[in-house]
Amino acid sequence: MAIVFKEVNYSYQSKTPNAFQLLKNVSFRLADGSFTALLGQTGSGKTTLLKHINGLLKPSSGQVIVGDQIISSKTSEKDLADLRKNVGFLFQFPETQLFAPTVLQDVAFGPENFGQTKPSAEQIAKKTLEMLGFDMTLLNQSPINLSGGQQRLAALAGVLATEPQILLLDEPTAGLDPSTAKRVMILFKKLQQEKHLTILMATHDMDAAAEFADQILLMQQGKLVKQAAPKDMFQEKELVFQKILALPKVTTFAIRFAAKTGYTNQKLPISEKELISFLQRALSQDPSGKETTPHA
Amino acid sequence: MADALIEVKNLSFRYAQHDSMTLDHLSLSVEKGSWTTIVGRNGSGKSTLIKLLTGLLENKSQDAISLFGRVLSEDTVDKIRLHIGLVLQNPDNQFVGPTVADDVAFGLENLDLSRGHMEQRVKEALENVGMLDFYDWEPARLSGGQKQRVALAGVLALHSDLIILDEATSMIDPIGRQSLLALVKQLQNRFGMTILSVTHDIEETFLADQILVMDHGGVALQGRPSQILIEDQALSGFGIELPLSRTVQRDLLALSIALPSGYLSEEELIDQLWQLYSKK
Ligand SMILES: Nc1ncnc2c1ncn2[C@@H]1O[C@H](COP(=O)(O)OP(=O)(O)OP(=O)(O)O)[C@@H](O)[C@H]1O
Ligand SMILES: Nc1ncnc2c1ncn2[C@@H]1O[C@H](COP(=O)(O)OP(=O)(O)OP(=O)(O)O)[C@@H](O)[C@H]1O
Ligand SMILES: [Mg+2]
Ligand SMILES: [Mg+2]
Repeated sequence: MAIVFKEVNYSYQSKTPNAFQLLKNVSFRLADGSFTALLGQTGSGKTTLLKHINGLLKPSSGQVIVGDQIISSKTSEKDLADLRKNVGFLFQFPETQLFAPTVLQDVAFGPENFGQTKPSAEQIAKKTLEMLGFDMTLLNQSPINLSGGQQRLAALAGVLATEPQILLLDEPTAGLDPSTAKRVMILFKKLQQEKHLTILMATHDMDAAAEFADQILLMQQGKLVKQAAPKDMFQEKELVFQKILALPKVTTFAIRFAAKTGYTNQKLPISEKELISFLQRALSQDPSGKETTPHA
Repeated sequence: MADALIEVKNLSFRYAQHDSMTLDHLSLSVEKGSWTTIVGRNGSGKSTLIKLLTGLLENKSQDAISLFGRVLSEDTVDKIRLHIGLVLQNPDNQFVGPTVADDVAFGLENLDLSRGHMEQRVKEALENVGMLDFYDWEPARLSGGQKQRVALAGVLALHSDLIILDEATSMIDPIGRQSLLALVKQLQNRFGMTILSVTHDIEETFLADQILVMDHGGVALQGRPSQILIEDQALSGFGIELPLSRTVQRDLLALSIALPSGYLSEEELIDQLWQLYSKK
């Protein structure tokens, strides 16, 4: 399902004089089946934006269009029920979406609620947890007794178990150990490619954004300042300089190398493979700019 | 160690809900004035250890934990706690007051400060984490990263001897995270504060004097960053990512580029590459 924002404004307490404007004239379009990273500093409005896509918040003015559902300030809660079935939302703080007495019951809740029998919902729950690499000895523990990372995996399993068509992920890898984070990111990519899910992921992990997203939305103080593919976004020197945009580690490495050596190259790398060829090229180039044989 | 600020010997712990031990004969020591970073897989026991060190969980292994040269026990825990600033993994667990300022002030209530002095400390701490504008906000309205900044301010305001941070900057943007960690480093350097931090961010370990790798409730590796960050295979086995400088160094060595094979920080690696670059 495609996601469209048309001149969306959102103010907290919009009817009072001291209203606080959290989204300012935000417009964009995300194609059906796309994978987008939502970047921006702390407090720039990422969570607020995500909450508009499943109607947890409604625009003060403008429209949010998800599939064929239009959400405006006038949309009623009951018009949103169908939409919510199709939109999975992983909250920034996982414990805010875990509530059942056991992990198994928690993850099975969604599928059961959407019409599965109890045994088949539990089957789906187990399969999903297993796929995420969750420690299956903890199935009957209370979610509140899990470690931070385990809670996030359990919450994610609950979201995936309902088989949504849109995935809203609010910092899905915060608190995950690096190998689990990697596994989860690869799974998201697979869901996009094989099941055609539309994914929008708020993240502070520039490396993951560079590696997995097709495009990036960059927020600053409630405004959408740029929409671009990772390879273009991370070349934006001006935004980097203004500290609106942080860079992937590999890109920073290349910039530091360039600053030290005076080597100039048009394009900065955004993956480790690109960094290695960037360095290889630098080391094999003579100062006149001609390529010589690489160090062998 | 003569100057150990934290000394743990053979600490074991089991939650009532579990059959197996969550911490199993764990020993470690943290030198006064140093920064120790704990890394390790989800569920390896990092937060459990932190909660035992700070008396939030009751430790049944008698005499296993000493802090500031005193054994942690029911009798000493309250006194010892006065010297520790703690940020828990979930900032929501730490918010108690109606405003951001009340929250930051909360920890100061036990310190016998005058009203004016307290307010000054609160403002200073909020300023340091870039949150002074939110002084009289309701904590519930903050974004995720703003909550973490405020939780950190609560600890900075204490001016405590020991700061313990459990994934305290995990939701802060990278530029903000770097500057907050640099601020903590400054406290260590300037005032000799001891820092114990838990993280999944390998770059945070660059600031540390000691890295502890936890696995299955024990300390699997312990040493200076330059000793630990070179243990490629062991680290991967414990689910820990290698620093970029290390993987780049490895990739370049595999391409027969003439680099040393020992540990190089990013700066040292770039330095080596610069030498190769200018020699061509
Ligand atoms: N209920 C609310 N009332 C008033 N202001 C709010 C409310 N919720 C959020 N805000 C403010 O709106 C701004 C955007 O918050 P939001 O949670 O969308 O940020 P974010 O980009 O997700 O940040 P982070 O990366 O820290 O999670 C912040 O300044 C926040 O303090
Ligand atoms: N209150 C509790 N009751 C029962 N078991 C618990 C409790 N808290 C944690 N555990 C279990 O103890 C183990 C260690 O948890 P802990 O929170 O110490 O891990 P951690 O290393 O901090 O992990 P993370 O990186 O995910 O935060 C986990 O398997 C967890 O499920
Ligand atoms: Mg957020
Ligand atoms: Mg933890």
